[in-house]
Amino acid sequence: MNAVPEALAGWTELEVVHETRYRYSAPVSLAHHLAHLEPLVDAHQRLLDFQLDVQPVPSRPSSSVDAFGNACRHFTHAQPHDKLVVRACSRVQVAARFGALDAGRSPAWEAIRDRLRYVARAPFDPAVAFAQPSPFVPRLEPLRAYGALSFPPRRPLAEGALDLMHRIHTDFTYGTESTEIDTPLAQAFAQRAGVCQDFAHVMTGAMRMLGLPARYVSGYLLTHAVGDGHALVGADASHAWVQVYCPGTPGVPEGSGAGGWLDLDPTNNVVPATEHVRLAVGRDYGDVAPLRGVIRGGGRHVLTVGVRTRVLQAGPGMQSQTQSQNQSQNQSQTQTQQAQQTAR
Amino acid sequence: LQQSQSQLPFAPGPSEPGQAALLRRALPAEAGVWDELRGDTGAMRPMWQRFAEWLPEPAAGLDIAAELDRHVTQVEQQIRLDGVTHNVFGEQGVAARPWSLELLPQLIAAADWAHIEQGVVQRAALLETMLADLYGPQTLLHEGLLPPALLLRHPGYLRPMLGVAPAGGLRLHIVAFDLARGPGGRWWVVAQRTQGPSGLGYVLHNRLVISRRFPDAFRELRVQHIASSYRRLLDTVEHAARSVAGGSTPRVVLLTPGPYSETYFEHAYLARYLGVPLVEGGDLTVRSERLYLKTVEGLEPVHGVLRRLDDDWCDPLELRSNSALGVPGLLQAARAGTVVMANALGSAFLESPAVQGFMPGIARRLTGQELTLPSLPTWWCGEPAAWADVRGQLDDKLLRSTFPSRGRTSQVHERTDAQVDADPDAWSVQGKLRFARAPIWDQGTVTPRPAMVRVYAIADGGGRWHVLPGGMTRVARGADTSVSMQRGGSSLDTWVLTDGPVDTFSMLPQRLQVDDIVHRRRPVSSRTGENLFWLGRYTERTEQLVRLARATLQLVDADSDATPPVLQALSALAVRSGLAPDGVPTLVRAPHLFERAVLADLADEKDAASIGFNLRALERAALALRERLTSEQWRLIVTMADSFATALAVDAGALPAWPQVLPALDRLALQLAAVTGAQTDRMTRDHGWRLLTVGRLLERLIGMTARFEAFLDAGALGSAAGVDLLLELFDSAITFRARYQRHEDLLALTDVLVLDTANPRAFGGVLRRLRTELGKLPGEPETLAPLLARLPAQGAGITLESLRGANDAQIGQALRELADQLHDAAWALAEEIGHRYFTLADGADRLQRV
Repeated sequence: MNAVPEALAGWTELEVVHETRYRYSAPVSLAHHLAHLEPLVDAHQRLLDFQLDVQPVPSRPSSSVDAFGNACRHFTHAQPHDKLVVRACSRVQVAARFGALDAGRSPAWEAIRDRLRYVARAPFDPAVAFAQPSPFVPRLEPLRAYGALSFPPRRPLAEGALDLMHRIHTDFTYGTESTEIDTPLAQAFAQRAGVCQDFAHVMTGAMRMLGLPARYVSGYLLTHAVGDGHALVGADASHAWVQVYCPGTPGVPEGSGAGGWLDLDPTNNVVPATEHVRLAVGRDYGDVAPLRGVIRGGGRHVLTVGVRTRVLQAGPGMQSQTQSQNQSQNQSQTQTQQAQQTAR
Repeated sequence: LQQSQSQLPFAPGPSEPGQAALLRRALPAEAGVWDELRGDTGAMRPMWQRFAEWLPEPAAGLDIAAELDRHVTQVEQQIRLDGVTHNVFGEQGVAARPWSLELLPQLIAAADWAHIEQGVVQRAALLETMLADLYGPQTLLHEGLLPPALLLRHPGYLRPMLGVAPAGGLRLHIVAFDLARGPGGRWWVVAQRTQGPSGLGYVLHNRLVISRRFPDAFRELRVQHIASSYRRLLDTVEHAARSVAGGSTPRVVLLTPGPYSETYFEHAYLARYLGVPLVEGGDLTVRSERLYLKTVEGLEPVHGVLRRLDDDWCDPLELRSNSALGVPGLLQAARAGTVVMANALGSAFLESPAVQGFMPGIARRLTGQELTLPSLPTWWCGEPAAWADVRGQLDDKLLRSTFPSRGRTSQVHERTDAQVDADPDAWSVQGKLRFARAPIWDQGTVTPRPAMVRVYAIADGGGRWHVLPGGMTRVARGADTSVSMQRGGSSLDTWVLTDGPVDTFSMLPQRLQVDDIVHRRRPVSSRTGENLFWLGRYTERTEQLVRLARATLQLVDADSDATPPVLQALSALAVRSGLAPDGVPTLVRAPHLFERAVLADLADEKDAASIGFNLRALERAALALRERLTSEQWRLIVTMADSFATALAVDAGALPAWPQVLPALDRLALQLAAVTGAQTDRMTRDHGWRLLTVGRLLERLIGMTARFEAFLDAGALGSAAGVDLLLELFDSAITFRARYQRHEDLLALTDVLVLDTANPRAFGGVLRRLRTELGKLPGEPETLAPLLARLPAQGAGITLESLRGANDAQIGQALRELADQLHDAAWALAEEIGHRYFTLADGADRLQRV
């Protein structure tokens, strides 16, 4: 792991409580769940404490690490129940990662694209996994032309990616009414509207159509910090943004194997710093949904999701990169709720 | 499968030169392709000469051509008799078509087979090694021997299985290869199937049918038998499953996507042949990382799964979330190593045609060997150099999709270069091979048809592979069309000849141990139980409807002297049974209007109460039970529904006419009697049969109470016509006449239709049997007690003694109360049985994603 530059060594300490409640109109006889609720750990994010509390208490929950390196938890309920509460409490420290980003000195985007093209006997770069289409981000031809506007020949990759993020932020309307979790990428792109998942999927898809790896990040966003940093911030939501693969870019940490990824939040047009807490990374929403379940029975259900984020200790870089419109643009819980209620 | 090996000293030789007969009728194959029948000189190849020598002796008065035509008819007949079908997907949805099988077999000479065997074994072993690498250290990726996109973009490469050691040690237990012969006679690999290769059931049935047509040739040509390969497959999986069964006898199941999958027939056929339960995803459940079968006796552990369900459909929790076919949590069980998956989950990506192009290099790297059986030249367009090689030259090649689309592994496409350029990774180019021509007997001619052979390699658990000596040969309808059965292809029994002795193993005379016997008691899954219960109910319900429809229509037609109360009772009953719609004027007021209403509804399959609907419901329940029903029973049910629909078919807006209806109802009544007979007399009396019987008895009780109520309410039992009619509806007229001649007396009626415990259509008789069967259902005596308590403790609930001195009104009152009570009891019991034995099954209680 790379050492964090001293200048940015100020860590912000946050507590996140993420609570998901299901109330079923008929008893659920059997439920299997898969949770991606434990924050990631790396050079810029420390996990001080994590607790997952599930009611009713499941039989034999098991923890594992998925293929993308995310911690996940499986749990099963074989006893009839008519409500389920999943409460994840995390205490994390976050340091800004891209304070020294110099996008203009990133490699030309074609160099990365070409490097990932298969040539017999060529070395394998695992990032190529994220240049492939995936279930929620299938190939979409119009996205190629859309993305290409940000990537004229020889443009430094990170610069192009920042431009693409900016354009999506400008071109797309944020709205919880416009999409549901199952909204196809094509529809979100056609209507130029959606929630954070759609913004992230569109950007991911555009990068991939150009042969550039991009991945989906699920996490939390602190909506706004209060002066002393200890106050309750209020009801937030789970959030999503993207990472683009920019190896060799000054200011983008290079880890062993997993490095070279630059976080970009197209919903808010920011480079995430210490307000973003990363839960999990994957190809798209489907790989890292915070809570995914298959139940038997249950009838219709009502879902409520609440996220509370509290700053325990503010770091120096805290407010620097946050933008004012955040608050209105990350309330994905409403969207989640709608989608879930329509699910059979 | 067993063929007699005895050499009869007086075995008749051929009386006419079959060779000349065949050759004279053989159409020439196109120039430049391999002709299976003839060599370069135009003479028949030696093995075909021998085959021709042993052609069946024509029946008296027939020449050989007519004789062969007769055999073709018999092949078709047997396929129909055995109900061998495959489902074809068209615009109208799924339709079952009779399986298509040619009379002449595909012959493969011993030397050719030795070459194929060697190449197939080598490739099967290589595929296993590749899987181990690609789900482990990924050397092939790191050394650039396999393009990462072929895994990472393929929906069949399952990341959740990375780094997981398969339970039992093997990932692949069975692999299939599609082989074809090129112009020079050389065999090529066209495709490989690594998930759950289809065809084994059809291979078996093809053999059964064709070897019987040519018993002499089959014996004289020394055709290798295939039964031991099936045994080996089961042995391999059971052996692996033993390691996770913890000392108990392992339970292996065959997992099917269900009755609407393309090859459902063979899933059922194979399950029956191997003696393993046929299950759908909904029959299985995962608890604490272990797999269980839901049975009417509770959860039973499952240790091995022969799977026919595609990889990405297997677990809606971690894979395709819209899959209703899979088992939530199955991946957890597979990762925990508590269940043997045959084949392991995640092998689908090897089926991509693109993989073929990289196999030679991979073989050299992993085994240091060259592949002895070549695959067709293949170019994966995602490799710029490969695409540059073939672009602009697609005319003599096939363009295939690299990744599966719409559930099909790889489709052939017509595309331009530009379309490939848009997404080169998604395309692979394959050299076009002119398939060898196999001879087909086609109405008097021997016609050459392009042929492809699917062969099966089976692992033995000791690291060795064995090739089933036979396979599924498919031929195309025309010279340049696909051999796919979906597109009108046909199949051939595949005879592998040997110079050595023939292995006469049969699945049947296996010597079993006591433990095996104990364990082989077939479990009744909750879904099977539920379907059997409904099979019983639908059969009985249909029978009652037929009886009622006949009575109603005859009454109208005969302009009989039926009194208004009788007509009133019959009207009420018809409406209540759904035979006539609600609100239609009664038989008393407008008999012909009523009749028309009944006629209009009889065959209406959309009306949930019609005879047509019930017949289809019966058929659906039976379809889900294919594996448990004899083909005779299955055929009866299908024929019954079809012939009724055909008999009553009319133009839109018209009504079926009288002369159509009555014979159709009569025939249906007979067929139903046969179905019922098969159910009572031809099925093993396990818990499944018991549930079927209970279903039938409950339905009968419900119907009988409705009849009594209608007749009593209308006061219809005061006349001879009313009594006669009720007796007829109870099918008890003969019993009654034998005992009471012409006394139309209410007390006599009560004796025959209520009290008599020996009459299977009296309350007493039905209740007696219900009590017996309910008492034998799974569960402890004390848990069954509440079920039994719903019924009168003995007899019919009233006694002859209690009616002493009662007048007709009082008797009527007592009967009315009894009918009410029994009616409620029957419904409550049906519900309770559903709740107790079927709640584990899919149904109203469906899976949903949250």
